[in-house]
Amino acid sequence: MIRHLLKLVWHRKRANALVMIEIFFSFLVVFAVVTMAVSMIRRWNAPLGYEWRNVWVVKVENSMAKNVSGSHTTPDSPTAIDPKLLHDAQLIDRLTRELRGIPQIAAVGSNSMPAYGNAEWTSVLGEKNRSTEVTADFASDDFARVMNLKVLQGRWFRPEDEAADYLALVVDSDAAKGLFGSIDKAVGQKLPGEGFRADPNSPKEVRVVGVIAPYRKSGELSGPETRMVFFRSSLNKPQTPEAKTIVLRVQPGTPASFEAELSNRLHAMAPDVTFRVQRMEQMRRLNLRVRFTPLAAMAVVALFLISMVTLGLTGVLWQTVTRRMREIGLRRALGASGAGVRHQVMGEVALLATLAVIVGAVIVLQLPLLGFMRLVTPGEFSAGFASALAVIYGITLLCGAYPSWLASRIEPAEALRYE
Amino acid sequence: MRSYFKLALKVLGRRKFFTFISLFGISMTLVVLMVATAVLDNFFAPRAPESRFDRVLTISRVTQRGPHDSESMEAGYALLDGWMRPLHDVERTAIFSTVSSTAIYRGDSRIDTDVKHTDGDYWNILDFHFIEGRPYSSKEDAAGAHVAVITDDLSRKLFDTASPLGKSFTLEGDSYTVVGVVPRVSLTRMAAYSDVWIPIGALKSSDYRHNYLGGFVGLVLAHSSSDFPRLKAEYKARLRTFPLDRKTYTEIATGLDTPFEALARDLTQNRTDSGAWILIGVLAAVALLFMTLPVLNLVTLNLSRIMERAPEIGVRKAFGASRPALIGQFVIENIVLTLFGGVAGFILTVVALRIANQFSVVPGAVFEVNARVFAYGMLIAVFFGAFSGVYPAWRMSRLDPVLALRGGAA
Repeated sequence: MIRHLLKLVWHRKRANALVMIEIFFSFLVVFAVVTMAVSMIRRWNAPLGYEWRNVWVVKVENSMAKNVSGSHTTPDSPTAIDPKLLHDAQLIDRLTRELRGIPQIAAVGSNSMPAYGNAEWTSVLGEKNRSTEVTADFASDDFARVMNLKVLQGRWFRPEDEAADYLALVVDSDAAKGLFGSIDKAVGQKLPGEGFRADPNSPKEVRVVGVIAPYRKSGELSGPETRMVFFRSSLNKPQTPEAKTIVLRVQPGTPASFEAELSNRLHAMAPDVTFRVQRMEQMRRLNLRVRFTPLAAMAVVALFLISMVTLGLTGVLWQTVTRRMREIGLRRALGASGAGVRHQVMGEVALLATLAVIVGAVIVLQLPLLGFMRLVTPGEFSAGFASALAVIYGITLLCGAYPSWLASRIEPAEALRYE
Repeated sequence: MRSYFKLALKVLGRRKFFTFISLFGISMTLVVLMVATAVLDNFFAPRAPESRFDRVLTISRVTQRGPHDSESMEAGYALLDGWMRPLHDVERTAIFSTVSSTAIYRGDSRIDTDVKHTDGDYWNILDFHFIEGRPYSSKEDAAGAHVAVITDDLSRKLFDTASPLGKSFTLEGDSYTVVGVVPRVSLTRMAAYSDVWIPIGALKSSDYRHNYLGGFVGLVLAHSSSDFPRLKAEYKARLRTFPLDRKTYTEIATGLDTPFEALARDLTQNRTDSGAWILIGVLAAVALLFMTLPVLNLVTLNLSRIMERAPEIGVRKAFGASRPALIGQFVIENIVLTLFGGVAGFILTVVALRIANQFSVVPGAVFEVNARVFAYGMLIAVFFGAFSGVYPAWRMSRLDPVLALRGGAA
């Protein structure tokens, strides 16, 4: 049966080649869309690693200039701490302490690059032979309490770390696996302090003090790998990027009007500094919108492409059936049943789809080799692959349904006379 | 020629289902491409208040590169003041800060506000239409006056319907007096967009004056766009005197860019040139990739339609029609079809953009289809039609007349 179908398909190879290429491209489109959708749904449901509700973010800008790297402003001696950094660190420390006294505020901490924000710092950590790219941030001792971070192993930063001769580091479980192979081995590990940045203030050594649950800094739609690490922001030995963003957790039910009050109080505390108060909820909404809009546009375009292919394929198959009237009529005249003819037409369509999908599958299966797995997990990949197969077969068989029904109703006597 | 058109219309009317499928594919493809064109047009074509931007070059992203480190951010005031302002023989130069998002509090409510700091000449390069009042001058900027220009939208939120001129509001702890009101600007216009404009001189700290990098954008208004190559070369030559930190960096990459080049520089970071060609290439590749499936679809449809008409073609061939004539006939038929699709697509595009504007997908942006977008759309349609018509026409012209007459050619 299949050999017979192959022969029929081969006989009309040119027209079929085009249809096959079309199915092949549709397979790629469907695969991309379905994988993306599955991946987004899974990402949306995965835990964030922090709690954004009731968190407010205060950006502190001591001057208009963004952090210009140390080299322009550092005085001659390379080991001296930049007085500007020291000044900023003391300012943040003073503000944090004053804010703690306000009854509506449950906890106050600081970091450099808040979640849902655009700023991101990636760095390469670890020994030369086992270095891993991580997303990094500086955070204060109270940051974990503000963000409700979940400590899995060891501990978060403590004020006692200030006196230590190493720089304390907390990694999330994802980064722990990447750097040390497992979560259990991470606490107590040492990493070379120099080399991860060319900053003269870097201490000689970095030591892991704790492991937290994966911290998805870019929010609900961020990728499967987080690899987040936090360095402890120091009051006496501050480094860039400075922990210049105050994050605070307000008591549940705090009215919106408190935002204006907070803003006023901050300006009163430091009149020559610019403050920008934002609720993390707002930053989240903006972040989701920016990430979601292009996805939605792509999905609409893909949907259109698929519906166009569906219609086009139906038309082409229909046409084919009309053109093969005489051939089909002959089969009917020689005793083939209506169902037999229908099966033949459907079989040809299914064969075409199978050939196209095989080529598509060969190409899609190369993707994991090209580092595609950084974007989706193997589970999402297989789910996308399986659904794409199902959708493509569904569409092609649907396209074949009407033409094959037409074919099965051909009257032999009429067909044989057809010109 | 006329008979070809008539014939084309006849043929299209004969198989309505096929014509519908083809038209659906063509028009939807064109909708996607025209919407994309309209969005790009909204970003880059000169339009008020950036209507002089066919003569404007900008300096935005600056990259310092070394063997181990590289740093990439907006230009700093010191760089623009020292290396852009002294350019020879230009009409004007201006400096403004990148937009920062903040809030103004009115009673219990929060008004999200974007703020931009500019110098006085900014208002001479951009041609804002002032609903009320006036811009602030270079003198006011130098004196650090606490004055502001605001949008009509913000004016309504702050002062309801009353005229805001002379009234003041508090922003980040400082009080500013409104001197002018302009219409709301689209977020897609990088240089123009903001809600509040304030003189650079009103900044709380003057640290910015010493920073080579961070926070500012420069504008150069040339006498004409033919001056661009000269200005670009002059700026590049001047940069040799830039005090690069030789310990860390070996190179500074920045340039006077058109708005499109500026975006390309942003997207293709870490290059010496702006990378505009890369961006154009990528856009063209995306468009072609997107068109692959619709073209394939149209080609298969056309092919099966032609085969249906094999007897007709056989007759024409038997009576001596040449191959070019047959190919020409079919390509024209296809172009007529795509033009119909183009018109339908154009109407659908207008509808789609109206819906997008209704939901204000991009704040303040009003996407519209103008003559330029329409022309591009029709160009794409004709290209599309010719492209998808040639292969089937070629196949048709090769039909053996004897077989074709019998209607049995495969």
